[in-house]
Amino acid sequence: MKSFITLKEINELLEQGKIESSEVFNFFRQRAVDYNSSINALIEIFPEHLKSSAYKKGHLNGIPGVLKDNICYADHITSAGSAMLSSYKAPYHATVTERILQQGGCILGRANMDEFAMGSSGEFSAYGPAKNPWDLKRSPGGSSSGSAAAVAAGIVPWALGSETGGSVRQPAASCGLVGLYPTYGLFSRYGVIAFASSLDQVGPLTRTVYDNAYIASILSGHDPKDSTSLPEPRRVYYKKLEEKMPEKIVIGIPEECLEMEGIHPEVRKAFTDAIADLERVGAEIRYLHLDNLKYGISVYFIISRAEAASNLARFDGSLYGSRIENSPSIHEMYAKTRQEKFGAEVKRRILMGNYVLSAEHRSTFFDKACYMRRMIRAEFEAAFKEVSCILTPTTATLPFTLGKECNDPLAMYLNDYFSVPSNIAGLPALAVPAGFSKDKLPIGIQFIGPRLSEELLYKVAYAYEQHTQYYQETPHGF
Amino acid sequence: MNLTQEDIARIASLSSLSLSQKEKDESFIFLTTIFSYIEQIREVDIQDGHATLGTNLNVFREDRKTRTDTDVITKNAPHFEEGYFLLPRVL
Repeated sequence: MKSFITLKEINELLEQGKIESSEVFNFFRQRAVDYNSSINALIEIFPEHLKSSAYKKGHLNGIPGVLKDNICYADHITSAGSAMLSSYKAPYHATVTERILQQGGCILGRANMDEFAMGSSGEFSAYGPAKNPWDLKRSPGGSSSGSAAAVAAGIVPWALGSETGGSVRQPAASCGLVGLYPTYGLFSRYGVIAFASSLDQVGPLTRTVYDNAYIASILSGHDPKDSTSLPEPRRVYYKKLEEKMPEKIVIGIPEECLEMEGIHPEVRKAFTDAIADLERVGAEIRYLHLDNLKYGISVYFIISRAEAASNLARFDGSLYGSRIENSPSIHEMYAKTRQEKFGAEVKRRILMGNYVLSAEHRSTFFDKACYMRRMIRAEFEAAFKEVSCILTPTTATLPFTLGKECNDPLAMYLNDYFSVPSNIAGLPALAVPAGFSKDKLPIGIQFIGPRLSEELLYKVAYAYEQHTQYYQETPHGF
Repeated sequence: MNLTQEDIARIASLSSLSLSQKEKDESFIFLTTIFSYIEQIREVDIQDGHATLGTNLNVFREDRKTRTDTDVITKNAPHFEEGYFLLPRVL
């Protein structure tokens, strides 16, 4: 089997009887063993060595992938990248894990991540940062850092990440991958460790649009165990993909993207090239204004920190997770455990969350942010009366240099400028590769659509991908 | 909005975090930077229109026991003995 083989190609070989599931599993497991030490994408490579008879038939036929370490896989450690849960064994499968296993998917390991999914560079992991296979001095993005690095290095053909504010799409952009933030409620969050519940969603990371649509089809469909799961049937996104751009597609370009201060010139160039490419393949381009885009980061800061402070209150050393012993009182035990087992970024977010929720400040910050969230969503809804979807860069900058931007909170957060508005509005957004910088660093663009427009986004992105073929490029040394 | 060092100490206590002085100082600088950025939300007028967008509904499920294998839960507890989670004194 060749390196960087796609999910689609593997399935074709399996269907033709040219290879067996056990060969596929062993091939990727060996790649994980060979390459993980250089990129630290996986916190753990599972030891299971399955016999061919144990591979289950289904859409995945034994094809392995990895789970971000905040997605429960029963009887395996699920640490959320934190020392707080370093020995926590998941008592059950997350619904997304269950669906992958039902379709014969194998889980090869657990992927590194920023602690509790809080970060944009992977550097806030308690297990050391993952590295970007395109340039080992760079970050693969975050918080789904290990999921993206593993797919980009060809260690696995698919991975699941999770997103609260760009944590799948930003790593996808940093690693030259396809990443989806689905419509809020499309994929179950049951068994996924919560960060900010009104924003969190699971998203697949793959090298191609087809493969992404394939995994998304497996994950979709209502789950009664998650009260925020939409009452929608399972969807099939990958069967209707065609090279030709669908008829009458109008793509909206927010002028604000071109005018944004601080956007890297090479990102701007890739973005304008993508606009020209999309026009060439038959899409109509229409420029528009999204005046509220600029408030995305502020609204996201407030809502995500407030929800994080609430969600992380449960980690106190009493019922599960780590505990610091020998405290004279329960309150001291709580404070010592949280102080010692949470990392710096998690603590800062809890502080900010509790501040904006406190009685004196709640109306100034939290209530206002909730109001502005509806305002942002309304602006998108109005735009979608004029256009089929909206195109923006995925990130404003090239992949971070490890050890540099993580000390500058604002630079780091502003990198999420384009990604967080869709999280706030609960709208699907699909990030795809849009070329490379002159130093061969990946650059991404994203298509944002109306609620439940994943099928359309995949079709548009597939036509663009078939025209540009950036996925054919692979990093050296893997 | 002026965040103070006292605010940080108070919020740390509310958050059950026994921060070191160094962490308090760093958090103060960090959060001051962020709050000066999100000051921008002040320029937005609240109009009643948006408050009514979006509907929330309650989602219920049947309240019944679905699993009895409690040992998988209790195995994750720092201390569990004879059916009880053991904790330091509350009072």
